[in-house]
Amino acid sequence: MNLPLTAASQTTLAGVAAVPPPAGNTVEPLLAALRSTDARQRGRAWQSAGSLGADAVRPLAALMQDPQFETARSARRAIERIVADAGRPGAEAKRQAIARELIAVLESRPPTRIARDLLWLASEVAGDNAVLALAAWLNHPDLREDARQVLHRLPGDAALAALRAAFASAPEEFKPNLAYSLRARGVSIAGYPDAKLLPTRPAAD
Amino acid sequence: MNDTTRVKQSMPHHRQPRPAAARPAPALSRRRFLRWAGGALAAGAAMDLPQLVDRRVLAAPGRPGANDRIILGHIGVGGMGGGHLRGMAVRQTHGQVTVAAVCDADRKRLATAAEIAGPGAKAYRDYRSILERKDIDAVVIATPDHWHAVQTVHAAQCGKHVYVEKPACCTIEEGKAMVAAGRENRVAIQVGSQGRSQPEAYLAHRYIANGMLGRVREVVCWHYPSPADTNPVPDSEPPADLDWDMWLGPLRWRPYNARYCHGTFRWIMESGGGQIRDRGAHVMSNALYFMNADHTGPVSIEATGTLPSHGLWDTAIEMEVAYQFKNPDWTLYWRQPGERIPYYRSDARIRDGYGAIYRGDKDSLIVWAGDGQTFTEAKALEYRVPPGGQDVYRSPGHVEDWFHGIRTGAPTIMNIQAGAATAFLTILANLSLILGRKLQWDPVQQEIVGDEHARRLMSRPQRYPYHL
Repeated sequence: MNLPLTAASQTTLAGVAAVPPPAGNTVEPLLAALRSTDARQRGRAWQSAGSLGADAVRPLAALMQDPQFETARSARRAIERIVADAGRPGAEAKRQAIARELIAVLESRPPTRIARDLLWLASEVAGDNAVLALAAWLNHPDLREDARQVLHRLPGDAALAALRAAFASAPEEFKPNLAYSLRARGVSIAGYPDAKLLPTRPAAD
Repeated sequence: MNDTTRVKQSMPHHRQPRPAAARPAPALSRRRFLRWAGGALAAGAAMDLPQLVDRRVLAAPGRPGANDRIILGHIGVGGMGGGHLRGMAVRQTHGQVTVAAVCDADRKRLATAAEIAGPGAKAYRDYRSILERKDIDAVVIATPDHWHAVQTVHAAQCGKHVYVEKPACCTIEEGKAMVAAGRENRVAIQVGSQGRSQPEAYLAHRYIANGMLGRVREVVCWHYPSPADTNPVPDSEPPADLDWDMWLGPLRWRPYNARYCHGTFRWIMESGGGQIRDRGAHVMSNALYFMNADHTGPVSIEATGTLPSHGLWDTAIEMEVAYQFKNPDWTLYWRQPGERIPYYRSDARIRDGYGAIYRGDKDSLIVWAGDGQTFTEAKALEYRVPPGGQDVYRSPGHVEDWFHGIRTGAPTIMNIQAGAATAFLTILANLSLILGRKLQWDPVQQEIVGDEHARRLMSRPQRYPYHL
C-alpha cells in the first residue's frame, strides 16, 4: 500500500476545532455561561476565558464556591485558561497582574479546597513578590504541604529564604518536609533524614 | 541468537557499544567458560591471584546468573499489573522466576494478587517494604502513571532491576531522574512499550533500516479519540479498601472522586495524560525506534485539540500534534483521530484504531496498532535482506529481553532513555495543548527554551515523602 506524501501532511494545525468566545468577551457573560445547566455552554465559556485577564480572577474564584460542582469546576478551569494565557512569553505585565489577583484572593483566606487550587495556579506564574503571601499558608494545618510544594517550585532566593525561615520555626513533624525542599536547593540540613524509603504501612493481613 | 549475530552492520542506539568500563564481556559459552574458568581458578590459586569470572555466566550481587531464578516483587497488581503477575506466575511454574512479593494500595486487588502469586509470596500495602528486602532482584511496577517515576527511582536506588509500565513518567524532571537512577545504580530498566519486541515490529524496522522507503520525511500516527466523562460525580470518601493517600502518592492532595480511579486515571491530565500518553507511548515509541531517534527529540512541538466541556476528565478528546525533528529533518504527527487506515487483510481481526504510516521519498509503510499487537504490511513481512543489507535487533520478547538485560547488563530494547524520550513527546504535547502555544525544545539539554511558564511545568513538586 503506497500512499503519497500529500494528504495527511497537508493538514494544518489550524484545522482543529477552535472554541468561539462568549458574546462580548467580558466577565459577566462568562459567569452567566458558567452557571448554565448546559454542559456544552459551560464548556465553551471556560475554554474561551483565557484572554479575559486579571479582572476575571476574583469573580471566578468566588464562583468556585458554587454548590453545583460542575459550575465550580468550570470556574476553576476558566482561571486555569487565564493563567495559561498570562504565562506566555512577552506577556510579562499580564502575568504579574494575574499573579497579583491570585495572591489577593488567597489573602482573603478562601475555603481550603479553593485555596489549594489557587496556590497551585500561583506556583505557575508568581514571582518573588508573592512569596510572603504564599509562605503564610505554611501555617495552615491542611495546606502547609501544598504551600511547601508551591515554594519548592518557585525559583529565586525569596522562595528559598521563605523555606529556610519556615524550617526554623516549623513544628517537628513538618520539618522533614521542609528539609527535603531545602536539600533539593542545595542547602545542607543536619538531622531530619529523608523518609522516602521508609515503609509506613503494615504488611497485609 | 548469540550476541555476535544480533547486529550485523548497523546498531540501533540502544545497542551501540558502551564505554569500555560498562561494556559486557564477549560472548562465552558455558562449556568454554568452564574450561577457561577451571584453568584460571587453578592458575589463580597457584599464583594467589584474584579469580576473574564472567558476570554474564555467574551471578553477581544484584545480577542473577544464567540459571538462577529471578526473584520478583510486583508493585501495583490491578489492570496491567494483574496481567503481568499472571504472566510471571506462569514463568514461576517453569522455574524462570520466583514471585516473592506483591503490593497494592487496594486491599481487594492485593488479596486477589496474593492468591495468584501463591503461598510463597508475601503481600504488602507499602512498596517500600519490597524494596527493603535483600532477596528480591527485580520489581515489576504497574501502578498508576503518576507513581512510575518515583517507584522506579526508589527501586533503582535499592539495587532492584525494574520493569515499569508505560508511560515512563509524567514530567520531564521525572524522566531525567529515572535515566540517572538507572545509570548510577547499573540496573536494567525495561519500559512496558512492548511493541518494539513484537515480531512484525522487527520486520518493519528492518524494512525501513534497509532504505526501502528512501529518506523518511514524516511519520503520521492516528488514534481514536479519548472518552469524555459523561457521568460526573462530586468528590466523596474513598472506598474502605483503598488507601487513597498511598494511591495519590506524589500527586498534590485532592479528595477522592469515583471517576478518578481505578483505570480512569488515564483520562486525567495530572496522572494518565490521555490517549497520547497511553497509546502514544506505544505508537510513538516505535516511531522513535524505527527512526533511530531514541537518543534525541524534536526541536518544536505544537499541539491543538478539543477538551471535554465538563466532568472530571480533562485530557484532550481530539488532538493534533506536530513534532519537528532536525538533523535529519522529519516530522512526527500525532492525530487523534486522524485518518484511520484499515488493516489490509479484511479477514483478520486486529486493532486498527491506532497506528502509524511512515512516509519516505520512495515508498511508505504502515504499522498498525504498535503495542502487544503490532502488524505491518505484507511487503515488509516478505522482505529478504539482500547481500550487504543490514539486520536489526530482534527481541526475544519484551520480558525475555528484560531478563537478558538483568543477567548481562546489556541495554534493554525499551530502556529508560528510550522510555523517557517517548514520554517526553507526550508530556510536551500536553503542555503545548494546555498552554495554547508552540513550544521550543532543546533535545540535547532536554529543556524547554524561551518560555519560563512552560519551564516551570517541566517538573511538578511532589508530596513528601513520595518524592524522587
